[in-house]
This record gives sequence, C-alpha cells and structure tokens, in this order.
Amino acid sequence: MIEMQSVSKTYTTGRNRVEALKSVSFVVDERDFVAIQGSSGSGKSTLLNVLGILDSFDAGTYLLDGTPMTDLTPTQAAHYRNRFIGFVFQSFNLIQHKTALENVALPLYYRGINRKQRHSAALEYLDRMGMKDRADHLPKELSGGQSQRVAIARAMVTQPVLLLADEPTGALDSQNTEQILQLFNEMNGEGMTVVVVTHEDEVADSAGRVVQLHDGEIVRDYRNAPH
Amino acid sequence: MIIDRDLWSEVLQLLRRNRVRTLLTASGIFWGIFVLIVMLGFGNGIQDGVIKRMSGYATNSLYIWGNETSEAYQGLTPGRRIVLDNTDTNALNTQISEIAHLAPRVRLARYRGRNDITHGSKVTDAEVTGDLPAYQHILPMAIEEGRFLNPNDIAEKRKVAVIGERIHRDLFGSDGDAIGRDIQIRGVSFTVIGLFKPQRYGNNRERMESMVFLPISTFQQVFNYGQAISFYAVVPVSGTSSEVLRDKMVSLLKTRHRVAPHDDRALGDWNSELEFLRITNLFVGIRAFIWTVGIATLLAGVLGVSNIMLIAIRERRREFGIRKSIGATPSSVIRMVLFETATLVGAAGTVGLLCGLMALAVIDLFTRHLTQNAEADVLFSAPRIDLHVVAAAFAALLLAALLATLLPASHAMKIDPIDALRAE
Repeated sequence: MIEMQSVSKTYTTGRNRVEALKSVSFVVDERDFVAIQGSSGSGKSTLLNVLGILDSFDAGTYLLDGTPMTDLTPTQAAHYRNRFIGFVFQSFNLIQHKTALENVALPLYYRGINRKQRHSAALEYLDRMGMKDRADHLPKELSGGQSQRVAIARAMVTQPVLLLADEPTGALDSQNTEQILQLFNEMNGEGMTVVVVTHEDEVADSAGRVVQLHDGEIVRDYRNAPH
Repeated sequence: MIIDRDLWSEVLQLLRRNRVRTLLTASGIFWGIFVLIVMLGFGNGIQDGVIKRMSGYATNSLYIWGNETSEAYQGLTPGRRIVLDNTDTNALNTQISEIAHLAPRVRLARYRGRNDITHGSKVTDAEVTGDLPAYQHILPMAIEEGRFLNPNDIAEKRKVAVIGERIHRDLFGSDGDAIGRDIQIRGVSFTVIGLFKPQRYGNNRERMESMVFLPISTFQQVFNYGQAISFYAVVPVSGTSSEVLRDKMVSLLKTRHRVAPHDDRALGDWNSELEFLRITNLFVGIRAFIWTVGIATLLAGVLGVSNIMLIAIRERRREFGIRKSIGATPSSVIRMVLFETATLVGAAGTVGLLCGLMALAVIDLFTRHLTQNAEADVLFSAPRIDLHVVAAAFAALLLAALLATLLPASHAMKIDPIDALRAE
C-alpha cells in the first residue's frame, strides 16, 4: 500500500536547516494498522504530511497504492488526496457552518458526485458511525466524541485506500478514545489500511505495528502481539 | 466557469453567515452605483434643460450687423458708420453659396420701448421688425392662427403684421379675434394676418410674446428706412460651420463697404454655434467630473471588497485547509472565492442600480410639473440615463471587483493545509 524509499525532507527557516526526514524507508502492507510514534520534533508530523500528500519531499520515492507521488501539481495532489486518503485530525476539523451531513458529503462534492448520491452516501456512513440521528446537527452541537465520529465518516465516505489519522484521540476522554480506537479496529478488520500518528501508548497498543521516529529516522519498528 | 447549485448554496451560506460584513461590503458597491446613476441622471437632466432653453433659435444661427469703423482706409476716416442695405443682401445671396437661409432684418424698437402700438383705445409696446419669410428658418415658429409672412407680402409691400401673444392679449383680449383686424404702429395701419408663437419659448418668453413681424419692404418704406438693414440673421448650409460663413460674409461686406481688412470693429457678429459649443464643452467637463467622482466611489467600494475578502479568507484559513485536505483543488478554491465576490458585487450592484433608477423616477415624479411644462423657466429637464452606459459601468465594476479579489483568492489558494489545520 505504502512504499517509501529513502525519503528526505529538509526545512529551511531563516538560517536554520532542519532535516525533518532523513532517508526514511518504510513499507506498509494493505490492511495493516500502523501507529507512528515519536516525540515532538521527531519528524512524525512531516512523515504524516508526506504520506497524506499534503507536503512534498526533497529526495526518494513514495508509491501510494502503486502510484508514484512525486512532483505532483497542486491539482494532482488534491485529486489523489480525494481519491486515496481519508484524514482524521486531533481537532476534528469539521466545517463549523455545515451540518454533520454536509461535512461528510463534502469530499464527494469535490469528486463531482451529485447532491442526491452524496447525501445518501454521507447518511450511510453517519449511520455506520452511529451518528445518523445527528445528521442535521452543526459541529458546535456535537460532543468531542461525536465530532470525531463525524470526521471519521467524512474520511471514510470516499472509500479511500488509506485512513490517515493525526492524534485522533488527543482531544477525547478515555471512554471516547476507546470507542474511536474500536472503530479504527473495525475498519481495519474490514480491510482498510490505517496509519495513526500518536504519542499515546494506548493508541499504539491497539495498532498491529508500531514505528518509532527519532530525529527524522526510524529507530524502532515492531509488531504488537495479536489481541 | 460552471456555476452549479452547490456552489450557489455554498456561497449563499457563507454570505449569510457573515451578515454584518456582507452588508457593509455590499453597501460600498451599492453606494457607488447608486451615486453614479443619480449623478449621471441629474447631469443629463440639467444638460437637457439647458439645451432646451437654448433651442428657441436655430443652434447654428449667425448674426451680423454694422458698427463704426476703427481704422482709416482708402482715404476714409475712422468712426464711419457702416449701414448694411438691400444691395448687400443681393450680393450675399449671389456670391456666398454656404448660406442656407439669409434673413435681413430691420428693427423699429426694442421691446419695452415706446407704447406706440394701438387698436382702438388699447395701447401697448412691441419689438417691431421688418422681415423676410426666411426668418422662420432661424426662429422656428408655430403659427397658431393665420400665417407668417409670404413672398407676396414682400413683393407687394402689403401692410400686414404677424403679432405675438402678448400683443394679441393687450389689444384684443385673450379670446378676441385678431386676424383680419387692423392695428396702428406709429400711426400706420397694418392688418393682422397671423398670431406668432415660437416652437419653444426657451428663456426668452417675455420677449418672444412681444414681437410684431412686418414685411421688410413695407417696413423700410413706411418708416423711412430706405434700403437700410439693421442686421442679418443667417443659417449656414449643413456641413458648414457658422464660423466659416461669418468669415466669408464679413470679408465680402468689408470689401463692399471699404473697410480695412483688419478692422475688426466695423462689423459685429454673434454666433449661437459658438455659444452652443461653449455650453456643450461645459457639459463635457461636468460629465467628466461626474464620471471621476462615480468611478472613484466605485473604486473605493471595489477596494473595500478586496479588503474584506482578504480578512474573510484569513478568518477561514482553517476551513480552506480542511477543504484542501479532503480534495479541493486550487482552482475550485479560487472559483469559490471569485464566485462569492461576484455574487456579492452583482447583487449589491443590481440593488444599487435599481435604487438609483428608482430615485431618478421619484425625482422625475416630483419635478414633472416643472420639466414637462414648456413654459416653466427651469434649467432642469426630466433626469435621463443611458442604460447602455449603465450596463457597461456595471460590467466594468464586476470585472474590477473580480480582479481585486484575485489577490485574496490567490492567498486562499496558497493556504497550506498543514499550517491551517495545526493552528489552534
């Protein structure tokens, strides 16, 4: 699913050059559930951005579902993001003036799918997340856990090949964390490849594989014992 | 640009969400268009009014009369009085082809002069002139009853008169029949053959009501003018300016009366074309001023839009970040921002346009009793607006607003989703 070969990324801010990724090579198989761990400044955010085609890289190759993600134009990158990846963020990132249903339907709008189909698909995914009865609610009327479930529905609605989550439980209490992780596991069980960036051990423990980053390099890569 | 229903609802949602901001931005555009429309309409109204006032006479007529010479020439001393006469008329008619209508005129008295017009016991004063039928080409007439002078009146030196409204009123009463009846002018009897009314009174109503026209031949004879002519009223053939005609006539008359070629005082002239041109130029100036103010106001509105959109996009950084992360292409982001601007400017502009037109209609309604009355002495006519000009201004406004939004839109396009989504 993900094949990274010697990917490097350097930021230059003023006189400082920061090597965020130092020749990272990294393969994720289909249907895997990988947690990327690391302290702040370890390069895990950069890795997430490169994986999510939100950011470019300086050297190396990155194949996503067999498609090279090199030298993309912004428009191409947008198309691949829409087609391949579902994002889940720590702060949910729902659009505040849109209802839950509209939020979930939005990625399909950018795919050019008509309104009716969008809404029925969005409703289906909200239903799967147990949020159907909140379809017409605005994000401010939802709790954190509910918001994150809407966000997951939005990430899933395009049927991506990869679910990419950035500290998805960082803003949630333990009960909600557990439920969200359970959702991830369910989707993973249904065949979805999941990559989660986290600093929480509880999240890492629920993943099948843990990759630890330090100073832009992978320092540890291990599999958890099956649950 | 495909404008689908989703883009519409998206944009309306955004505009509704920021009502105050939307209204403030819209008011700039609204005001700009409104002011432009009202000012243009007013400008046109004033221009029409002034031109209407001038339109009593042919707008290219020329007047030439004799004065005293100021230079010695061919043994003649300065200070000699130049008296134009019938031989000049013949010479002008035969030698200058640019003359469309030549009306030599003799004048007995200016109006408000002596009370020397009588009918029975009634007495009044008038501006009495001797004229040719051609004068009606210089002063367009609407003869209400009877007729104007004709060639037979001239040839037979008939003692006939065409009288103005006030003369008619003073001598015969408002309803009294005057045609065929006699009036005395300085003791000489004339038969009234027509009641004179100009096509438009313009700003000379009082004077025009007080006119009495006699055949020039009769006039010269009974009042002992001999061959003398007081002045010429002339209209050039179309395509010739009255300036050019004046130069030709003056030079011919100077030769005939042995006036030094550079003696500019010997003959006087007045040229309504120049006057007309002067006023036309004045309005070109006023128009330029109106457009300058209007466009400056609109520009302020456009810059306001640009500014507001910059702020709006800054506020919506996160939203744009989200949109990008779920697959919004840069062009879809730009399209959304431009469409939002177009909607706002288009709607505000349309409302401003309609309100401006409505304001003009209201002004028209309240001034109609003045502007529709041909006799009212106002320098203002019904406000009028050229819708082509308005449409062009509107299109230019929309274009300017879209151009002004390109900068904010490109900011939106460049928003980095990573930064935008991280910022708490």
